Amino acid sequence: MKVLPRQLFQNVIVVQYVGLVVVTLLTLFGFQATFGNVLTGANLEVLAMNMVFEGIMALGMTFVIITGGIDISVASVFAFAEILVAKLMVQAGLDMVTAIVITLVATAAIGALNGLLIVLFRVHPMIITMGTLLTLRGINLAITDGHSVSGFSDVFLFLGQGKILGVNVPIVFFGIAAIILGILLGHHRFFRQLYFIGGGERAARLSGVDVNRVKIIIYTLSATLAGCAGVMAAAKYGAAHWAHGNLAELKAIAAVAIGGANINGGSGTIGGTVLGVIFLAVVHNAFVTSAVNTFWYDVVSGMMLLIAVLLSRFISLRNARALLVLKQGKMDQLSETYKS
Amino acid sequence: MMTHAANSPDATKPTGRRFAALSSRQFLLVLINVAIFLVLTILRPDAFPSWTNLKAVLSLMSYDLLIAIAMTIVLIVRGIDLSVGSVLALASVTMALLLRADASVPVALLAGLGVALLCGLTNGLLVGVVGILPFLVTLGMMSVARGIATVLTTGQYISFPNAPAWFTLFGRYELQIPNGSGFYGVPVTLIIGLTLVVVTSLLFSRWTALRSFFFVGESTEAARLSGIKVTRLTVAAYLLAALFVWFTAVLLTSANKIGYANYGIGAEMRALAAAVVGGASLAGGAGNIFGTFLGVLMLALIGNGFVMLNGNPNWQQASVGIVLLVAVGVDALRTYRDRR
Amino acid sequence: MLQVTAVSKSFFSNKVLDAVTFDVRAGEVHALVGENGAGKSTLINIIGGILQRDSGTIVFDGKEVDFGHPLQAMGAGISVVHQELSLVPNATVAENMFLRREKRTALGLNDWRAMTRAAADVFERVGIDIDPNALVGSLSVGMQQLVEVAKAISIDAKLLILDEPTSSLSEKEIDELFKVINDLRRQGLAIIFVSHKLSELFKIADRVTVLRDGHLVATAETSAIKSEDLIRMMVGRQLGTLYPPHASAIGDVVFSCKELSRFGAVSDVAFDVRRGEILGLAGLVGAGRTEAMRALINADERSSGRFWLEGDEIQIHDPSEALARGIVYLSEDRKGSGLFLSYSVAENIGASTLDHYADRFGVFHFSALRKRSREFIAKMDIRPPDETARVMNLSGGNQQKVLISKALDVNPKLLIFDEPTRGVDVGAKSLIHARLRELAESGVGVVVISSEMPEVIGLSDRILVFRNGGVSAELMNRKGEVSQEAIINNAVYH
Repeated sequence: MKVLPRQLFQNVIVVQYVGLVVVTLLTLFGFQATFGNVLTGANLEVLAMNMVFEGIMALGMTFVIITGGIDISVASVFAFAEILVAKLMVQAGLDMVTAIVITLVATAAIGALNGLLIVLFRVHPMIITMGTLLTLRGINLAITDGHSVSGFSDVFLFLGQGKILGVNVPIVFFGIAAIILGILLGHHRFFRQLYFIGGGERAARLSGVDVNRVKIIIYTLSATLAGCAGVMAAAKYGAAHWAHGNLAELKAIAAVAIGGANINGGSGTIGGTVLGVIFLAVVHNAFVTSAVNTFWYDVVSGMMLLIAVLLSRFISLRNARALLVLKQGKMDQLSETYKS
Repeated sequence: MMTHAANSPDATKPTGRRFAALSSRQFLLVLINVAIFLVLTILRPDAFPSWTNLKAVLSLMSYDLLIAIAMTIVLIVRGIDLSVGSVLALASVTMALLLRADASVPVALLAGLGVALLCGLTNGLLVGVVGILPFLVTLGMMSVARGIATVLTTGQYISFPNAPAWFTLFGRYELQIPNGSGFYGVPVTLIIGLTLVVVTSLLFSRWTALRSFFFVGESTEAARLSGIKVTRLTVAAYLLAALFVWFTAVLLTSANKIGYANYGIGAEMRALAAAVVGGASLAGGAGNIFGTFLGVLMLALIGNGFVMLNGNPNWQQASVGIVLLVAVGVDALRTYRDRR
Repeated sequence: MLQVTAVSKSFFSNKVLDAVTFDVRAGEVHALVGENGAGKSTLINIIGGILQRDSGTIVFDGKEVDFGHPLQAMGAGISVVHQELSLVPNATVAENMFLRREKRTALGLNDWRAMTRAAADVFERVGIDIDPNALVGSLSVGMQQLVEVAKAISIDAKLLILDEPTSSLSEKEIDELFKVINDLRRQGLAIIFVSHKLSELFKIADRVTVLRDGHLVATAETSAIKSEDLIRMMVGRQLGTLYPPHASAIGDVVFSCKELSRFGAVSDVAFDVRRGEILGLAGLVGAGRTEAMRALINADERSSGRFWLEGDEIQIHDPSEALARGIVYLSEDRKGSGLFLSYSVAENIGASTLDHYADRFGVFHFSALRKRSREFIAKMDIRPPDETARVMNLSGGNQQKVLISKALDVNPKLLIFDEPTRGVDVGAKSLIHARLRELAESGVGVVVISSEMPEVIGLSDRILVFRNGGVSAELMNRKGEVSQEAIINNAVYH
């Protein structure tokens, strides 16, 4: 058998990307046409800021999902980072930079612990990160007694509320992180290994990939990104609260899945994830601006996730069918040739 | 030979031991529960072993127990149901709204059952027939069901003052058992929970239809080729889980005398933790209802312990996470030791 | 090139390699044979740095070596192509080949063009025609295997280890592979070739080393040794006749099928199975035999097919309906779709027949299943003789016996067995053959798919040869008179 057309294997992704962009634009312009206040600078800022922290977590989640794992602890890491950085500055009186550095190191350590336990215990990452999620959320609740922590300096608030060239700092962070991580994932040898791990761990190991090390690093990265998001969120809200970011892990996963990654591992791109994030942000915003009961938002984002996975399932079934058509054609051709 | 099977860490799988024989895991869980009980009794001899306290612990635990059984059932067929908590809320809200609108109790109950089964059926069909990962399907359903419940109630409590008294009393009914000087009031929810543990436990080990669930989870393809109706059983598992969830909703709605869209938030995590502690695995083919019961009991006792020892009750949630991590750690250790 | 001296290895208290000594020369293909569990895999894993030896020495290329990691072995010039492919379908051929050895641009990112060029160079060197930019997922398994070989030698390997490289290849692809191996031998590489298929060894290997139970039995020139000698050395005893006698009498038709098709895989297959006979399905891998049988029970959706069982036309909508009618298909992939690996022997035997062990209320009686399992353990000589042992701890041969027991417990009318002896040691193999013959004699229709031609000829009374999704020939084989050439002639297009 010679090489099958390459696009057969790639058009799943392409169709999903194009479809995603089209649906996003349709939603955007559809609501603009109906309500007329969507495509304003102020609204677009609201739109982006509503999803930017989940978006930053989704970047790390993309890496984790490509390796065939999942990290549902990000939301609690996010809230932990908020609380820690706030407590260090407000209650311990540390200066901003020290507080942020300590916070990021702490979140990185949590991620490393996730990775370490996953590698050590060899149980599904969902179980381990769920353990971390529950533990950390409990800690968040306990160390704040359910109250919020506030009283930040203006310099710190800039990280969440300030603008660089007219763009909010967290969005700048998200954009830069997406570009750097996207390039690395596409072209750097360390990150290319993720696809090999997701494609088949044992095989990757035999090919000399240090699977354990890569996994620990990836979970560390995921938690650190959540930590960065948490620090900026504390600045944006002007306060740290344990309930911030509740269920953010689900939105991050949804964004990655909508962006075309295979939850079983082995595929996914940063570009797709970014599209997924934008899509979720637009849908959310549509519900806010249209003044439809915003309670519908959960229903819609759940449906979107289901539609995204149904779509990719449908496309892969169609591709399987196309392969069969190709094979049948070859069979027919062969038997035709040798009939005489 | 006997000892070999009894010592295996996977005694939650049908390895051929009689039902009556306790696996070493369950034995260990019993010991841990007894130990916690003793420690708390010694530390707080007046408060902890009092019937009032134990009753509170046990009746609160009953809801988690039913949800955890539902989770165990889907885990056995290599599924997962993240929507249990949301469907609980949706069923509760449905019943409460109907009762408020003066529908008769059977109509309300049937409607609630219908809604729960519809969610379960959707989950089951998308997983079993369409072939989408259960994680994603039920994640979507989690969002959708909670969303609909919120939309229906706009987040408000739904009381139903006109419902017949027997329904509102039922969930809080206590069986009076004489103890010489007075009565022990045994909550009906606890009796129902324990009865269901025994019944489902027996059914899973002695009823062929339910035994087949294990084969589906252990290897779907092998089960299919062995003539087991895999699709039907997968759908059945999600329906069965939905049935338990509905039942929980009935008890909870009756006991609290309100329907509420925020019932069962985080219930899926506690259920998953209890089931995994009890011996279920995300890899499917394993799970034990009695083990799950012991897991739920352990989490409830630990939670109560925080209250008893005047600790910050907010640590309770963290304890669930830590218990989960310790449980999988112990498992990993046992598997490692077993291999030697 | 490689000198292995007195290497031993134990797993816990179990000695799997006991003072094995052997050597491989440059420009030589050295075959390594032995039953399952003889220690072949352990030995090559030690040479390849995946496992560490307990004692003994390994001298490679004139230096004593002690690899702690596969990468060190690779660095020294030892490349292992493992049985299961290690390629990622979503990445290109070139990226797969240069995993962990990527060529980089000045920025430290991957230099895709340089990698494509380098891959093309390697392909040219070994004479393979593959596009380095193709996604691996778009290649056939045979092509992927060649990519594996190319990847292995692209590290400037001096020693190439091939672990059962032909197990999933078609004859044509095997020829292609052998051409490449011959080429590499001429270029002076040392090659270790592990295989179960003895005929291949005689085709390709210069010398052969036989292992048994972790011991070295012998090393010999291939030209100076016969197939029977090898088998004797592997099992340590002479096997009287390798195959049971052919059918004593052939009766009426048990099962027949017409117009069996699956879109893209099987077209218009028709056949009868008679009482007392074993029907063999021969053909190249990918000719549609497995696909046809899976379509028969509708495990894969068929596009057409009519079936008659004992004279009556029947419908088969899904595998469970086939089972209910006594039609059993046993998969070639016993670990993935045959057995429930972490369950006990008894649970596996009863998997298709749970209802047999339940009373009329549906209450399951485990003791009945255990009793029945013990009968099968005795009959099939399953070791260890423990119905509560977990199947994953059994050897391949014993697992296969459990699989047959599961089928027999159904009291089948038609048994379709896909690769009944793949990855099974010689002793278990003849027992399985004997049981299949007994089954046929008792009036059950038996269909065997086998890619091992001697097995098809030795076992079956009639052979259907598959080609291009259909049946190309029906060969009567009442006395084992069909020649391998006759099968091959009908299996390929000329």
